[in-house]
Amino acid sequence: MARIRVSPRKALHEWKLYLFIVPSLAMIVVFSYYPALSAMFHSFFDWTGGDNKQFIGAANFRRLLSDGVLWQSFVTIGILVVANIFKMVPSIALAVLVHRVKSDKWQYWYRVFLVIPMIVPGLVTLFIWKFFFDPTSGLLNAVLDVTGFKSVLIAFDRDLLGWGVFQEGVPIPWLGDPRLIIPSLILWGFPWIGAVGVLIYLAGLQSIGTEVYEAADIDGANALQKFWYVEFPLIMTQVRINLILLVIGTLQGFGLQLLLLGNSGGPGGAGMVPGLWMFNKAFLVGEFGYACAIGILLFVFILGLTFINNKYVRVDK
Amino acid sequence: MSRAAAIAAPKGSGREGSDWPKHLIILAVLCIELLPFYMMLQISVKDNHAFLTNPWVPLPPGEWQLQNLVSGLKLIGPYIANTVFVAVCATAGSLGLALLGAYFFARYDMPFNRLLWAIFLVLMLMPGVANIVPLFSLLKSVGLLNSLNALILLGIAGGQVFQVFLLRNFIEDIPKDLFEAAEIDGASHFQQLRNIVIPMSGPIIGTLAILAFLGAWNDFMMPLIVLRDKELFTLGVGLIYLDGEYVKKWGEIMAAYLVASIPLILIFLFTMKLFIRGLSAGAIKG
Amino acid sequence: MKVRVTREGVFNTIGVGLLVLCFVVALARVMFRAQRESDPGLVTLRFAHWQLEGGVRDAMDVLSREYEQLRAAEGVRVRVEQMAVPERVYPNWVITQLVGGTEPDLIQLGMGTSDERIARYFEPLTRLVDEPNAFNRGTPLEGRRWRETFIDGLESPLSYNPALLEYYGIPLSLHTIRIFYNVPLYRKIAGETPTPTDYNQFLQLCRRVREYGEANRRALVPVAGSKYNAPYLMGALYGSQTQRLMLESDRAHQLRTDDSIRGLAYLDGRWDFDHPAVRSGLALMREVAREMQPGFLQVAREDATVQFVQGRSLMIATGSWDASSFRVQADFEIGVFELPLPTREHPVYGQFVLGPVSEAGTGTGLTFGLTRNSANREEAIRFLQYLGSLPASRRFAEVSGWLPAVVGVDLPPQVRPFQPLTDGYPPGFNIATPATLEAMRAYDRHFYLLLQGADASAFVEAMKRDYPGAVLQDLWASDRGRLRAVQRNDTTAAALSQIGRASRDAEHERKQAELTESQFGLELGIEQARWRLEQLGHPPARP
Repeated sequence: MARIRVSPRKALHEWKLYLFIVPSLAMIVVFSYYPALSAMFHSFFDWTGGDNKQFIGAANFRRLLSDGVLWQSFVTIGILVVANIFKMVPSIALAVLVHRVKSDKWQYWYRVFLVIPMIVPGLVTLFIWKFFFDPTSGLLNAVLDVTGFKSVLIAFDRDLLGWGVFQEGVPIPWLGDPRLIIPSLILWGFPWIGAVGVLIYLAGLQSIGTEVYEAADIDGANALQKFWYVEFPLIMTQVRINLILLVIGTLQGFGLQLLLLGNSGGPGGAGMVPGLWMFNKAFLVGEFGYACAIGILLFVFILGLTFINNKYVRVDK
Repeated sequence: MSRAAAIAAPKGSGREGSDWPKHLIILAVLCIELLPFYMMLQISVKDNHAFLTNPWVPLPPGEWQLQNLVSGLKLIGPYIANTVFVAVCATAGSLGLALLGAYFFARYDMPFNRLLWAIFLVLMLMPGVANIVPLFSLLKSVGLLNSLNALILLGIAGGQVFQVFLLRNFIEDIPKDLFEAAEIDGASHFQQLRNIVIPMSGPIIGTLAILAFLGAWNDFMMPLIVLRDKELFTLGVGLIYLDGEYVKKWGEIMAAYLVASIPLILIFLFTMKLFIRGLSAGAIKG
Repeated sequence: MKVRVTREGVFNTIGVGLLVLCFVVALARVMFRAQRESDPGLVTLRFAHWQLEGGVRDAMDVLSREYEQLRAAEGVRVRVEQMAVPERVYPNWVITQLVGGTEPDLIQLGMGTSDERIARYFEPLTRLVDEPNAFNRGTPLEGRRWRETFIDGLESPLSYNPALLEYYGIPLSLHTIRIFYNVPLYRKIAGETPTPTDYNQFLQLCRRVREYGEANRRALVPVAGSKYNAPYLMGALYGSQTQRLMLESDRAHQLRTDDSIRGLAYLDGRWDFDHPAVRSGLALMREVAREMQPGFLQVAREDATVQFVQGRSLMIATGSWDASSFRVQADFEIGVFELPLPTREHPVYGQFVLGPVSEAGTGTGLTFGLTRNSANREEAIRFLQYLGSLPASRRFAEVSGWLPAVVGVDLPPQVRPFQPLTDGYPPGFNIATPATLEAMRAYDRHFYLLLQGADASAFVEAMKRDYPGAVLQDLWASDRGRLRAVQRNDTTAAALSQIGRASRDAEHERKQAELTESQFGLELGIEQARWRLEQLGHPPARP
């Protein structure tokens, strides 16, 4: 449905319509644009948060270049982004599986059960997972012991890695050893099903008409080929959107690391991500100006990635 | 109406072969996914001793320590009340503003439309990570620190972009004749909004409302920075403080988690169909 | 079909109804709170701390209520609000509160309160502590200057800030490190043998614990270790080896260790990680680490506590602050003895030991500072004086089980074993608890290497690589902080000089004289530190 074109002259008459957009616009200008601009402005200052500012030009940015922790944190976040992209797969797979289930009733109930984990507030899930990671009374170590998978890990460690983290008789320190931090962060949330994602994919899958499947059957396609050539392309848009949001979200996220590992990214700072470093610099050390500089760097980085994505990967509406 | 057709899934679409491997996998995955939920439930009725000797298996009903739930409620209750307050206000406020905005964009192509729309669109992809620090400073200068109002305002502002975006798409789909008929009857823009747009966009508004509510419910970063007084704490901050205790009585803590989940459980139970319907509809559109 | 719709409708109504109910309740609370805030006759005092240990919150509650009653009897309505913030978020909390301007009247100093922040946001109490404390009337401490009524004379770094040359904090407590042990279990293992008084006896006890465990098929670990507890024991043992080294590095003859002293001594070449005393200390740490459960480095504080109170370990090393928490959680009698350090007669470790370690230098803790922004300054000061008085200290010790910081308190029996032992020699360097940021980070990163492998070489190599740079960073950071403190006071000094020129007021002259003197002292300190660094061939300040 086309929108009604309003000429400038009529617009003056209908000026009241502009009022409809003013509150919304005001909100985003004040709470989204102003802070962004303020961050850019303050990144050129030595600012301790109050009224005390000192202009220091590009000194903050020069400091960024030599900040080892920051660059290491980018490496870490890079690893996490790649891991998160792989973690999208289970959601898609589950959606396809549920979609292919014959009985409608089962499908409905599966949908219901999928929604249940969303009921638990995110923080609660996080803290329960923290409890899972506990070396002495946590679920993860107990499961590894019982299933004997721990011996596999010990052998792996001894022969291949040479880390010395997986040892006989020693509870595995998931959040206590620097080298296990990144694996723990990746492992977190197993089996990596995002309920909202699955439901969206399911909805997309349902729009596939029966004819397409019949045609595929006639061509003799097996289950895997059906997925690759029929289902996947048709949920591609949702996947793309999810991918972009996921990458942006992971790059700028640090809540998970903050709550699981604390202000400094845990033992050895292995879990430090750029967002957390910014938070640390602002709300622990009190160097707000430098924190803004880190924020701007992240901002530009993410924006750059998004541009590249838009140029080379077109998003169909 | 494409929406209704999409929901009633076509039978026989790729469903050959035996089903039980699929069921097995799905059930296995769901079981693991629901594990935190299960742990929360079964630990919440144990006292510390029972928990330490037997962490995994649920207690028989006779030995349940229901007073854990009571202490959990005492621990978490005030935080839940605050969070409800913030979430409801933020959701109502943001949807209200978003409806107005979406109406503007969807119905009329006014001068500056493209510029204004660009302002909204840019925000969708603009990372907000650098905003935390200046936001804190902004809230301080208007004296809104340590208040729930700050959280409400932030919630309203945060939801705008996504909500306006989705709602605009929806409103564009509403047949023009309805609007024209209303205009002929002399309805003002506001009345058109109220009588046509809202009823027709029911599902999507419902979904957006639930998402916004969830967002406010789960938020902890800004409340952690902004709030000082324990009486004002929202759920996020309350849970963080709970996790910071030295003497951890796991039974009570899990009971507190359970109590923290109850409002969401209620909401979901009552709005489940709406949510699933809305998600499907929204997905197709976007 | 009709029935289904109705049921859904009913459900929806109930859901919405509950939501509305919650909302109304929340709204009522918010409004009630707003009303209370604007009540003109009610003075609200707020104080914040991070001591979530058992007993302290209760003690502060009791003291708050007693103070409220005291003031009510004098016709003033006061409400005291306690804010206990978890340790993990405390530094963030402090800085957001201070910068945001919403800080409480009294804040516990020590975490998140750098010198610069103290100078900026806290009020000096120097004049206050020179006067007698009104709340000490009727006690033996009546008429004495307030700062003389404290066990440390208010000289601990949190109370008297040496960089800023002013008193900023009033302490409420004092802590000593002890070994807590499970009394019934001890009797089963060792019978009537007295508790160990030196390192050899301690090792023997550990061996008996293991034997007992094996004989009775119980998984028993001698000492419950954790990332948090282990450093106390290990650090004290390390310190026993560096006693001489500490005295040699103490050029100012303070008989007290200071992190910048240690850092400068390292840069000066007085010690490095190959020094025999250091190596001996590291070996001692490795040896005692074997008496803790495997993987203790990654165990959290709470888990070690659980291990101890569940009887899976005989001993645990921690400070007196944990005593009440243990008592709450354990169902057995808990005993206490001092850390078993090697004596001079020890064949291997004795050569570096000067003698038993004195706890006379123990600093005070639970120190509260007064914020400049406090809306009810007079009342806050009065509350602070109440907290730091003899009667209140006694109540505090009773309820919390912690040592009080005020002199002459008649200690309740459960608190007596923690009294500091003053006879002995100054302790050595304690490598395990460096208080400077980068050094601590370097130490944290490499510490696990210490316990692996055949000896401490891996750790030593790694530290040799990273420690100098870390120390330098820390010294520069401290230089920056002190510089900022001086700059901040410059404006005041200028202002005072202007005022002085306009009016010849005795008060202003005194303030100006004091400020000038303190600025001078600060600048002297900065120049000295820079000179030392330059002497050692390093840039004096961060480039």
